[in-house]
Amino acid sequence: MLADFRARILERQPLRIRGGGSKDFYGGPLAGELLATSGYAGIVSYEPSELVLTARCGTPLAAIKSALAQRRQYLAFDPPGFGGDATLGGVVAAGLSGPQRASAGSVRDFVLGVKMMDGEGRILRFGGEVMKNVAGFDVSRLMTGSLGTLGLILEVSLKVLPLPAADATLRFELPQEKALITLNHWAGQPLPLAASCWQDGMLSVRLRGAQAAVHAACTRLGGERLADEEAASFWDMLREQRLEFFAGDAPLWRLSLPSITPPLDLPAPLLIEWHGAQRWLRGELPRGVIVAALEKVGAGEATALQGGQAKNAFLAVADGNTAANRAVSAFRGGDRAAGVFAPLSPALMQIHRRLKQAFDPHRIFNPGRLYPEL
Amino acid sequence: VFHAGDGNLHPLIMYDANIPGELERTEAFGADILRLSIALGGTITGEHGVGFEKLGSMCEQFSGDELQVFHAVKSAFDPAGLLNPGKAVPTLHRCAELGRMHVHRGQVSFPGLERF
Repeated sequence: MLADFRARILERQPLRIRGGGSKDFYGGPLAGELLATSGYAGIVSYEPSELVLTARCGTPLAAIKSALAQRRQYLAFDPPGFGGDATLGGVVAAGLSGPQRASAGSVRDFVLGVKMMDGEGRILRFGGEVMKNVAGFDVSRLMTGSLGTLGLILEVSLKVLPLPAADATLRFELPQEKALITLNHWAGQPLPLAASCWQDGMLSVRLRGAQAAVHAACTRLGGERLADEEAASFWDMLREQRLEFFAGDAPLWRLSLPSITPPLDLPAPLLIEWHGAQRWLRGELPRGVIVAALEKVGAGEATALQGGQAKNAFLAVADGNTAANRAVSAFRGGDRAAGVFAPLSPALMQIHRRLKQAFDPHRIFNPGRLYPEL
Repeated sequence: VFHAGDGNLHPLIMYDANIPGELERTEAFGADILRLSIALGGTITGEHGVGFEKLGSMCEQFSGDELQVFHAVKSAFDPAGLLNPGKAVPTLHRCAELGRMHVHRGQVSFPGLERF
């Protein structure tokens, strides 16, 4: 299989790397000949006592979750599959994390090492299977979220964690602004807050941890406790974007914001996750309208004090973009040809180009998937 | 000193610097510990990174191809080579001089590279 991969790469024709195809919708338009990784599958090693699992790129995410569940362990970054065919390679290349991300960390935080094939067909290993490793540059983290534009991920070693002993979901009827303030307040306290979701005046909060901690938090926070089965299904549906909010073809925008950002004045359905830090919008909104709404609220709570004067953090210009523009990406649907992520400044784009050149000098892998220029 | 939780070692090797050859023996022993760590699937550094002292051991943990990628990544951010030149990643020449070239399928990486 590795010889096949290398042979395809040495043909030097553009390739579209694909595991289960569950994230074909994500990133720029698909281009290049299909390079299927699903045949290169299997868990290479799993050491529950060391909290490390290594698997090949084509291993179904479901198989990994099931192997972990047998030992009462799990992937704390809660990766969405967006379909039953999702593979480990796709999870890491897409760099997407689920509802627990704000509390547990992102996929990048759990990638300990990768084995990859670069644009010359060379097999390279970076990182490893140990928790602590600072030898050489952190290329495994660079691969995470690069949407396959730097190389073919062959194997990944992940840090895994024990399943929390207790799990409870509470519901509160709260208007948006009150919900955001409450979440930010709770996030600053020693509560076993695992995930949160606000939509249509209803705040759902997931508490996970030691029995005593979850029990104490339930007593303190109040609200209405969901039955365990209903709760588990709700967080699954949220992670997999199967809630009613995500149905239909209307474009889905993702906003990555400081969690304290006040409510936005936009005429579009809204769903909030990550204690306010990830907000989803549905509808045919131009990027500019969303950016303008962010720049408008920026003068509220999401401000940085500079020289005694309130400064709108969303207007801060770094790399030629305002922070507001960088916060917005076109997650699903809509016109994708012009780029789905905020355009990079010339300086940043130059670094991206050099990295692309270093790993994929013949520009084979997933052209245009991350940025039209790469 | 050991961090039992994450398998991290801080070997402390006592030696007498007044005795000729002790320092060299100590350094060689340190390198042996790193070699064993790599052989066991570990890494030469878990916390403090590589400056100069562990440069030689980088040649053992990584292949010539991997080291070359590190240099390319470095150059993407610092094309003029202004930032801490010579640290963190050894040159392939250095690895060759230390006699620690990675031999793969009977061939070292970049067989055409001039060696001393």
